[in-house]
Amino acid sequence: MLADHPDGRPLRSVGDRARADAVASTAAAFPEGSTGPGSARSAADLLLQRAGRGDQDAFAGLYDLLSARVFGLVRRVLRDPAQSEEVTQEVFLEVWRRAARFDPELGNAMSWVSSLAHRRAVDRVRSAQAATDRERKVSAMAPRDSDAGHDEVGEQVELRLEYERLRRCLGNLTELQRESITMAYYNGYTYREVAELLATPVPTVKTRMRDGLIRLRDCLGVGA
Amino acid sequence: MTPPDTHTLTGAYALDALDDYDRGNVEQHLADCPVCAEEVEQLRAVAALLGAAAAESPPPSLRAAVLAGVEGTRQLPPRLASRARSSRTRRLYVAAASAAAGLVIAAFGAVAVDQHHQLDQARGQAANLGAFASAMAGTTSHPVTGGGTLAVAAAGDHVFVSARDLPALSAGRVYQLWLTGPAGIRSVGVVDGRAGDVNRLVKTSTSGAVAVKVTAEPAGGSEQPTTPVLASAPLRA
Repeated sequence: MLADHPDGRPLRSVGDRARADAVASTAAAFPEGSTGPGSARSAADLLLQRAGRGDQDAFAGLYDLLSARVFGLVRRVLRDPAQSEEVTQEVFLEVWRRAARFDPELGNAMSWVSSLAHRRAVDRVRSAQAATDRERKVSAMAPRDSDAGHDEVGEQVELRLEYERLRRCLGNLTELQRESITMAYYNGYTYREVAELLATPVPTVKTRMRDGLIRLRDCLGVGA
Repeated sequence: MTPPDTHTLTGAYALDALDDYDRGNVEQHLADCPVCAEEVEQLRAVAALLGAAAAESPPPSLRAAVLAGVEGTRQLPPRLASRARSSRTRRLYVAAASAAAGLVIAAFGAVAVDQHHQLDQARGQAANLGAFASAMAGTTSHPVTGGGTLAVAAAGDHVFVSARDLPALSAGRVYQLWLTGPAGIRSVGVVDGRAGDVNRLVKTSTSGAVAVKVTAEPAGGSEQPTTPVLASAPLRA
């Protein structure tokens, strides 16, 4: 679990981990965009479960807790602010719709919501892409983001990653692991596209994504 | 059956870096491999932390828009705990589903004779079956790539097909149902790409049908599948 605050500010003490009766106050202690990872995680679980029982106030609390993550992630992938707002809205409505199906046994709410958001953003990128250049091969597509994309990914990772520990852990990866993961995740590329852009065999990229993520998992202490 | 190297795709899967075909294979694999599913869960949590690093507050107006949207959005019911049910329970469900399908066939047959008189009854039967099918979905459902589940129950020369929570397709796309068997694959119907839930009774006509499959196709459907199979449900458990 991350110990550092995303903004580099010290993590506020929120007392005990959020309990059911303290969810509202915990949510209030983390206004939009300033989520403290550890407590936010368990608070998000509880809020999402309550939202699943039709509690709109809990859902509003969940929005306040996670909207910056969702919007930031979607925007990172889509770039376009207007589209990002639209997709963020879709994501939260989907979260509301599916809330009763969230099972804390099978993962935490933050990860559940983030996966949903990322998937939506990627779907949007790919359907837009399919509509405009369905015919083009990946190689022909490379100019879309090749030079900019290459450098920018590195730059984004260097400049915009605010979790110190995440940055340190990313630093422990090989360059190929890091690039494979960040290009796929932040740009919405498939592993075949990443392989093309990195001029690396497809099976290698596929493997590097997996062993890179496993190394990150171990470094970050993300457990079952 | 999934390709032998499917397991190594868990990383790319957690990053949403797979095309529909690979994704389908991985999801099929995950359904049979709890260890892999756990790995995916962990790698997704790692990916979520990568996502958190990009955090950026949305414009304040979005909050009101989202909460207003919630006001008018119905929630899905929880999934019924299904894993723990015994195979005996499951057989009972399937047997009962088959019986219910038989009822609907009878009702539909009657409609042909006296449409107006029997229509309400047929609707009632279909509604019962729909309700039944949803109860059954927990035990015999197969994941659909992209979301949702597919469940089937065979009765004589008919198959009842029930799909739930299918994600809305983009405009101009539909879901298409297929029946596969020794004679190949043939279309057994097209479903509105935004229907979400579907209950269909399908005539198998030729014997030896093996499975029901679902693909996404251009509006109007295709002669043969033109996209990767999104879900496959065998007719015999």
